[in-house]
Amino acid sequence: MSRTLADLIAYGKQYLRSPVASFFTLAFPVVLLLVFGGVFGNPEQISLRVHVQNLDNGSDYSMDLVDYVSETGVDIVPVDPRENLTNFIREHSIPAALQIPKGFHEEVGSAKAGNLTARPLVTLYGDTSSAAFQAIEGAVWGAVTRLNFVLADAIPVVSVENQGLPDGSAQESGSALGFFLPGIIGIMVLTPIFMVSAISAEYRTRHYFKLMATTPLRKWEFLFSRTILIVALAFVSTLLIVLVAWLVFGEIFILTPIAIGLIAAGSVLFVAMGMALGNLAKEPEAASALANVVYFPMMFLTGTFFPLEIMPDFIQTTALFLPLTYFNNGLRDTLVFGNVSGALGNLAVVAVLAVVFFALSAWSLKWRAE
Amino acid sequence: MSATVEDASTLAIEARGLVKTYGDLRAVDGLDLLVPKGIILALLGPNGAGKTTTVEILEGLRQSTSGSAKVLGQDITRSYEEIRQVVGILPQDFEPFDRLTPREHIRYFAGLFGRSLGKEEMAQILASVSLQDRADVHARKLSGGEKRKLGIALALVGNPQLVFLDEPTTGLDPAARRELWRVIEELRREGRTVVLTTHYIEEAEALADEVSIMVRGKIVASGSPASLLDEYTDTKDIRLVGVGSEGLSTLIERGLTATSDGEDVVIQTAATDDLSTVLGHISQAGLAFRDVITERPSLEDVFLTIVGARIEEGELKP
Ligand SMILES: Nc1ncnc2c1ncn2[C@@H]1O[C@H](COP(=O)(O)OP(=O)(O)OP(=O)(O)O)[C@@H](O)[C@H]1O
Ligand SMILES: [Mg+2]
Repeated sequence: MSRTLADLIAYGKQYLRSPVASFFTLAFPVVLLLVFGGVFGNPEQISLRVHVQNLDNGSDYSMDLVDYVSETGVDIVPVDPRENLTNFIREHSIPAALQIPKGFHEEVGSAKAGNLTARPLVTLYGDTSSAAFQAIEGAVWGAVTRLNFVLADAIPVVSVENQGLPDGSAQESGSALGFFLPGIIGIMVLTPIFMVSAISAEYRTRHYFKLMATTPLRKWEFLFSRTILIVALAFVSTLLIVLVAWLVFGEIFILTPIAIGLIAAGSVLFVAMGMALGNLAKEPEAASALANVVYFPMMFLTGTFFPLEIMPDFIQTTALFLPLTYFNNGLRDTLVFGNVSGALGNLAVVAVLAVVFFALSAWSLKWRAE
Repeated sequence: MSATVEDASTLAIEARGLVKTYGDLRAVDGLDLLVPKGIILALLGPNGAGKTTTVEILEGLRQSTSGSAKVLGQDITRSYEEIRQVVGILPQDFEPFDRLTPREHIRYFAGLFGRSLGKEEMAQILASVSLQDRADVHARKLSGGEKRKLGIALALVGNPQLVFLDEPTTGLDPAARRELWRVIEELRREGRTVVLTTHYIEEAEALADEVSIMVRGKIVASGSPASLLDEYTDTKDIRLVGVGSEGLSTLIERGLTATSDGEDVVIQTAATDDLSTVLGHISQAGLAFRDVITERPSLEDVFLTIVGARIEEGELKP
């Protein structure tokens, strides 16, 4: 125990004295939080913008339609009727624009009067495959349907009410920050993989493992102290994140016991993965290359920044093989959705992987000389 | 600390038939080594002789291919963990940690040996390797010699009964080397056993009670420095300083074996020769010279004789 403590103190000093290691372990997650909080913290500010070119000269029905589109909650940006709309879209890189044709009002009036050949049509131009186009299409369809009801003198029966998440989830506000927080904690437990893999590679090339082996320190005590430090720092960093979220964004996050378990298990998992990479790589450069190969796919493909649901199928399949997916899902289950059984399942996966990688790091560590 | 290893033996090290192979290379080739307690043993040998491999096997840090070794009466593989407590090691490739100071290193290693050092003990350890003025500098800023001194302090911090120092004074300036010799002699006075490897023959001569000369994985000669001199050297040289080359022929005419060395002439005499006869010849020759120096053979001559002989036998060729 005293040996482990001596090693922990000496290692902790060295780790925190390295500017790179202490920045990426403690400050980087907070920086991410500030960036995300600044960009997404105020959801009212970002709303969809719909460009509308009205060629029907401000006629009543065309104006009604534009009003209805606007009332779905999007901002209307008028486009000059003299513009060629497809060129305009290209030049301004906008996802979609609505065109109301000349004679729209007359055509609507004629159809309402029972003329079966009358076909009042509006056109939505744009890249039909983009997510923004699809969102705008939804708004336009909503407006068109409403106009049809008005024309038919009918009253809509069914409607939708938006509601935040019910009690039982930790974050009742359901804010955007609430969605990103688990992702940021995910990056926080993942990032030490860089430092730890580099340190392991350095320990081998500079013969530090052998130097440690000249003392009574045992290999498992060494592994334990090296892991404990990063787990402890992960909790310090979590505390900083929660504190900044509260002080800067006024959002109070309460960590559930499952979240605490996930942070501990996830930290162990990625420290062990880093040590194993460092031990198995032939050279320090190879260790850092491997760490990159592991880090970036996990950062982008596990629902950290973008919900997995909007990803193509093959990425969703890939994500199943990336350990961070289970960490992120578990944290979201417990913090955002209050889904206890889902969170426990994900925690179990992370814990089993942590044990497996810890064993791999112990096995790959050549403690004595060859 | 010493209680962890029960040891009735008078031998600090008892190794028999040690072999270590790397592919076709026999880095250690059937080595026997018996080291009594309380002495300083120097392992002397050219680069690649297998010194580091041998000591690391004895330290338990490398696995031998075959053979057995006991350290302080305990089998090194079976009692690995007990042995760690009583053995101090300076590896040849020692490097301190960049971001710890010497004081922190010493406290760290003391902790690993289960000791906590008082202020005075710390000061004394730092002073013993003259690092007191550099105690609070990050180790990456230390000079090569200062790093080496720190490594020696770390080898001693656990209060070991047996100390392995693999090239302790490589990279040290002459004054620092002599200082370290004092530290090592102090260890012997305290009853500890020291095994050191070195390329410096004067170091072995100055410090060692026993010298083992290692070539190509084998110990080819061992004994006290004096006994090695007796065994392997049989000449004494008399150097006539400034006698000039014309003196050489005169001396050879008188039946002496002599060679010229610049302005000097060196007369070789057999160990059994009566020196007064030789000196008589010199004075009768009536030569002018500035000084007479008798040159005792040194361990270096022994070393060169043995290693040179090995080269001639082809044993140093790969
Ligand atoms: N891990 C290893 N793998 C392969 N060969 C090795 C290994 N370690 C040592 N050797 C070889 O074993 C031989 C003995 O090496 P060793 O380091 O023991 O020599 P040494 O006497 O300590 O030399 P030096 O005075 O240069 O330190 C050398 O030929 C070396 O190349
Ligand atoms: Mg060596």
